[in-house]
Amino acid sequence: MLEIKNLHVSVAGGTEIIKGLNLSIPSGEVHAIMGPNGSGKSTLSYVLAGREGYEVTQGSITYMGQDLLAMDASERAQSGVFLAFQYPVEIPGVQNGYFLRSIVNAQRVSQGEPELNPVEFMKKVKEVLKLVKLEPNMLKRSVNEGFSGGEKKRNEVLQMALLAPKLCVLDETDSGLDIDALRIVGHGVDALKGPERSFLVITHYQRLLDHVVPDKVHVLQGGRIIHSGDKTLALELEERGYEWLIEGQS
Amino acid sequence: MSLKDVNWGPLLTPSKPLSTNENGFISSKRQELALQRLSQFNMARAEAWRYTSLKRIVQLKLMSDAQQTEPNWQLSLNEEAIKASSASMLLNSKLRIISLSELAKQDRDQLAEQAFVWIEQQFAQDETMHDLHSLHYRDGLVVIVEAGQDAGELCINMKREKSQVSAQTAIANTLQIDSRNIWFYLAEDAALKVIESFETEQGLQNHTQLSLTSMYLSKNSKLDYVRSQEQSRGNEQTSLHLGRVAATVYAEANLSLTSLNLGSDLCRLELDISLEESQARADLSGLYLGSSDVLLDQHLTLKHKAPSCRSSQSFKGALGAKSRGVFTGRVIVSQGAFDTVAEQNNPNLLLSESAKAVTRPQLEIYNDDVECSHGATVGQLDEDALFYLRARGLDEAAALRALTSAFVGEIRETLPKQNLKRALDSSLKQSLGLELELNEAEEWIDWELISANI
Repeated sequence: MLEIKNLHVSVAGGTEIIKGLNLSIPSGEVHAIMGPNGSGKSTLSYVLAGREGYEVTQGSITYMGQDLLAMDASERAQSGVFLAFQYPVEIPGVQNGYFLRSIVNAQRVSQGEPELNPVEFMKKVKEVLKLVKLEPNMLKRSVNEGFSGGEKKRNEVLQMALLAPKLCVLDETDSGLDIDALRIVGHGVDALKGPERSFLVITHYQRLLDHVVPDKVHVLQGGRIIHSGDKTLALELEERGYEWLIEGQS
Repeated sequence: MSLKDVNWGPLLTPSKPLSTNENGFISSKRQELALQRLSQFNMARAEAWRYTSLKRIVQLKLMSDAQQTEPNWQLSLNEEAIKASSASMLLNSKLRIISLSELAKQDRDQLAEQAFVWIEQQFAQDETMHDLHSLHYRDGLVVIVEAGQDAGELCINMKREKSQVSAQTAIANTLQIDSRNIWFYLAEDAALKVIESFETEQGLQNHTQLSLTSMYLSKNSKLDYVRSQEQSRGNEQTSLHLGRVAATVYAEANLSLTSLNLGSDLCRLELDISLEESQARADLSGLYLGSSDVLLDQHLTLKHKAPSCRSSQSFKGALGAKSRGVFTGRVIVSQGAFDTVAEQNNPNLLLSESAKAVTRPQLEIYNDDVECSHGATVGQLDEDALFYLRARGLDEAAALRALTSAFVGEIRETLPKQNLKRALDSSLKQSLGLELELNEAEEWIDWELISANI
């Protein structure tokens, strides 16, 4: 599904953030990336989603056999890459329902399918609203505007469910959530797991991984993956922190 | 031809005839005074006219080839057309619509007399736009709403078509002047909705619209006023719009004003609102769209003269190509106007690198107990929001459209008529190349209703 080889990324201005990252995620697997602040986690998520302002100086990213770096952000999204934002953007004046239908239809058109009319769309969205425990009235509000932290993250999972992506990148989706919201979001993500869908879960904490159990856990430090393990690694990190791994490196 | 090549001189030449008898209202003395003042245009005024250079107009040699065509009013009340030719156009238990010349002549009852005295006082002002109107005076339109009556919705349009302009004028380098003045006098507890629009046919050359709209809101009256300036423009034409809207709002009265500035090559729009007595309220909003090398200069003065008045201003500019948009928002809170709340907001969206926005908030507060806020921004579309939309699969053009639609959407939603929304949409398409995503069906989607019926 996703093959990252020797990836080097600098931000505009020249500072290198990612320094030779290798990662392979097969179809249907859930991989978690953990790591201390400033290790390059969010940069990795933005580079995968195609945000401008980052320069790939070396290496490659292959997604479904294609060169991901040759595609722009909207092409990536249309071909099944989804980034759940750490900080979902508020867009005053754009109605959430309108936005959701637009992104579903943009994807359908790119795949040669007819657009959904409002009623058809509503049928589709209704089931998904239940999954993330949101009410239909949230479709009338502006995108993320005035949403609580939990509502914003649930709106991200809602979009993920509607677009049915192949590769889901979750950038600290658990941040800013209370226990109930975490359960709803975790349950929503878990329900989307399937043999054709891979997840890259970026997180600081073990708690989201209780709901979305990873096949592999990687530790990102200094722009590289310094250690990988199974789900027990996350528990160990929670207990011991990153120090022992970082010291082992140097 | 560019604006520089146009000879504005005729604006300073009184339209003939220069006599009271035929005009019925403006005296030749008033015209002479106006001419004198405009000719000696002083620098104190020049600051207010910093962006629209009247100096240039004044310096030009006076010529006498300004031409006026007869007014071509199109009026309708609550969707029914009003025959506009007669002097007394409409008279019913709720309102009167009458020409100013007729009002001047007739035996006036108390209400008509109050309105007439007010109009006379307005025209006596030492004020540039009134001076210009005095020079190019054409019979005005007076609308009086009776006490306690809700007269409904009045639409006023004066569309200028090419066929109404003589071939000579169209070819020669002269200004075609349309001058109109409209007066709304609302008695106590009266209510009225007004939509005033300005249109010219595409391709009309050297065309000037001179417009004066004045409002008197008696105690506890309510006026909803929408002004839509849709004068045509293009490469080979120069059209000028000089407009002034003045309102005097008395106790507990409520003015809601929406201004769409969508057309012309050069537009100077003055808004002069005075909250005279306690608990008067004015909610003002506007949108201006600039394209090519258009200049849209809005000059707002809002006076809080009494306690416990409320005002809000929200004016948005979207500017493309080499256009310039100016918003001067002057708020004056007088001594004794305690418990004042005044908000001002002027966000500007620049859609090209050569576009320019000037925003000038000016607060003059002579009092302690005042809550005044103002915010002005000039910027491009939000990069984070653009990326968010693209990361969901919208291409760049669609993302730009969605965000620009959102920027103008707020005011679009408040427009009371579909034809105003269509005018705005077509202007967005022509000026900024943006085809709005919001079609008519879309904005009415009630998701909860659909949800309940599935």
